[in-house]
Amino acid sequence: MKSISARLLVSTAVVLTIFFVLIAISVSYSVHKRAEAALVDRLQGLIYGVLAATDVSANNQLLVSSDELPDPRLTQSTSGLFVEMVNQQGELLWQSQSSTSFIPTVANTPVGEWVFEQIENDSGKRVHRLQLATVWEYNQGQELPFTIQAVSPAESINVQLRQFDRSLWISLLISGIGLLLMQLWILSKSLQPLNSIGDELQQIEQGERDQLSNTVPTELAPLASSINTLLTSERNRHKQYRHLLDDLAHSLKTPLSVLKNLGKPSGSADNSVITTVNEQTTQIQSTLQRYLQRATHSTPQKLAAAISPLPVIERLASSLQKIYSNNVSIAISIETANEASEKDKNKHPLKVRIADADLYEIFGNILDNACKYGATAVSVQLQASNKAVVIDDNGPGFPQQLISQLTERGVRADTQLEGMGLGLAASAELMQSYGGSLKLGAPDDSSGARVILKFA
Amino acid sequence: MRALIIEDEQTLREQLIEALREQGFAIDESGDGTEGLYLATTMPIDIAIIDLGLPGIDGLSIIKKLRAESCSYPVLILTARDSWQDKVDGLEAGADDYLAKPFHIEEMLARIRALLRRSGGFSESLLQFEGLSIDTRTQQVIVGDDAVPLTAYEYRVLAYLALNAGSVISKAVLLDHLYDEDTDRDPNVLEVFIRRLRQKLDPDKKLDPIETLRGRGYRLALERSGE
Repeated sequence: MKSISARLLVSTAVVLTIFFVLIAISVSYSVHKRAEAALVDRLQGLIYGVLAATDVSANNQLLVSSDELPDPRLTQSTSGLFVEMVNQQGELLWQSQSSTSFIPTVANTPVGEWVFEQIENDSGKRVHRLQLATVWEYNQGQELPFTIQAVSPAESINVQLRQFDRSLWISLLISGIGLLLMQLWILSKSLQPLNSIGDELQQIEQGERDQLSNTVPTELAPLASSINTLLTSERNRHKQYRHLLDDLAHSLKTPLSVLKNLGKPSGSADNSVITTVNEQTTQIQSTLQRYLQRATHSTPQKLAAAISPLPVIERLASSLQKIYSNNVSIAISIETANEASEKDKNKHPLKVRIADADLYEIFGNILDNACKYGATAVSVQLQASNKAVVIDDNGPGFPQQLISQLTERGVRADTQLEGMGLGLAASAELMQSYGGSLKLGAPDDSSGARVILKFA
Repeated sequence: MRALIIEDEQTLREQLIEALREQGFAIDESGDGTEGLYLATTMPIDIAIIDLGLPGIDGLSIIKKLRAESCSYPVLILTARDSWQDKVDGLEAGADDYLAKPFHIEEMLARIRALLRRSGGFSESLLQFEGLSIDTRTQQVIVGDDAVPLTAYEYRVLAYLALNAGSVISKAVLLDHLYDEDTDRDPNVLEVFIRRLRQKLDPDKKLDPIETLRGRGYRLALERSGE
């Protein structure tokens, strides 16, 4: 069983059931016992009353004065309550007028002992019977032993007891179910903070939040704060590793420069050694480059703040114009989502959820390619309606092979693309990692190159 | 031409120095940011090659400070960090170009030549004047239709005058830009070079490419052409 609430619910249900069953059994038992005791009391009173009204006649017969009988029901034939006296031979000595049947005496019980039992009479009905074996002394020393028994119908008491039992079980069942429901509600209330911590952890996993909120109950606060501490230290360590990797890779580049320039033709060293050194340093360099790029861009933050790419493009454009000594003009135009809101141009409504540094890489590679490969005019159009940026230039355009490599096969980080392809592949890969796309083509009205960036 | 190299990795610095000396540059060099900044702001530098990661003061701060002191010579950044954000930061701080490590010295030399041409107002590697052209890539000098063989020092003097064509360059400035601190800087030697240059470039005394302004210095007096 994985869920805490299921565990709690099942165990509460089991405990509640056992508790209520035990309550029902003990209550029912004691009520039955009390009812029986009350009945025995009543029948005893009846027997004593009958005995008080009894006398022995001259011919040793038992005489019962019907006027002195303790209960008027004994004279009604339909009352079901009756008293009988039986001698040791089992012969009937006396019976009340209400007697409907004769019930044989149980075998000799010691004198003065009460026997109470529930039995069936000859017509199959259940009755309660209280017996007392006694001895009547008369004429100085003569004894007449006999048994007196009082019988009352069991049905009405049994029905009452059954009704009581039923209502007891029903009320306990209802309160049990009520308690279970209440328990369920309490559980869900008290487990809610745990659930919300679970949700928040999931959001952290998906990069939609970076800490647990502080609004947890006091009992969970230590847990939440340790999770937060763990997250922070984990993140710091991750950052530290990345910086270390970064530093390692970058610090290797200076010695690589030295190695690369050992192979100068003027040197007197062995030519094959120089060639090998050159090849290997080139390979090390491209490996470094590739893994650095992967390490820095493999985990884009899903919830990067939405920023306008315009400042990035403007900075890149002015930097590139400096490098290419103003041989290239880079024009930036903004197409607003609504043609009517022409005056809101400065609000540049295109916003993209991409980290700053990655935006620089995406646009830097594309604009640099345009300048490097002979364009003199580059236009960058920001289209808020399509969430796209279209970059056209009047250079030589893309070779067909590159277009197919980038568009048909898709871009893989380890794809070896030369020259122009390398930067574009990096940009395309970055766009993909943010859920966008990079497409190559040609401008509508002229030759040259067109790059369409579509943002998510 | 006087180049400043600030690079903390000694072997790379020595390679750069060797390559630039071969190209006829006078060199100032440092492996430390603080000393580098001192050199950058006090020496008559024509071009600076500055590594960004430096002990003392980092490369970006050096560039900002030397620009704040109105040093306007071109600056080439050497950097292992080649993200576009770093490049833009460097260029906005005042650098003119960047070179990502690892690089080939030849590529660096090409960038330096381009930067020097640009700062002299030339957009091609061929500096063209009426009757005289100088190929900065091959260091070849052509007068009329004939190549003129020059010694390294003669070429340096001519190239410096050509890149500052029209301006009067004093002997002291010329010496500053042509010689390292530790070499013998005799103005008489300079006069000998100028005389030899005139003989080689203008044997018939028709062109008169280098003008002497008494007490002030020299000037390349030819009109620029071919631009």
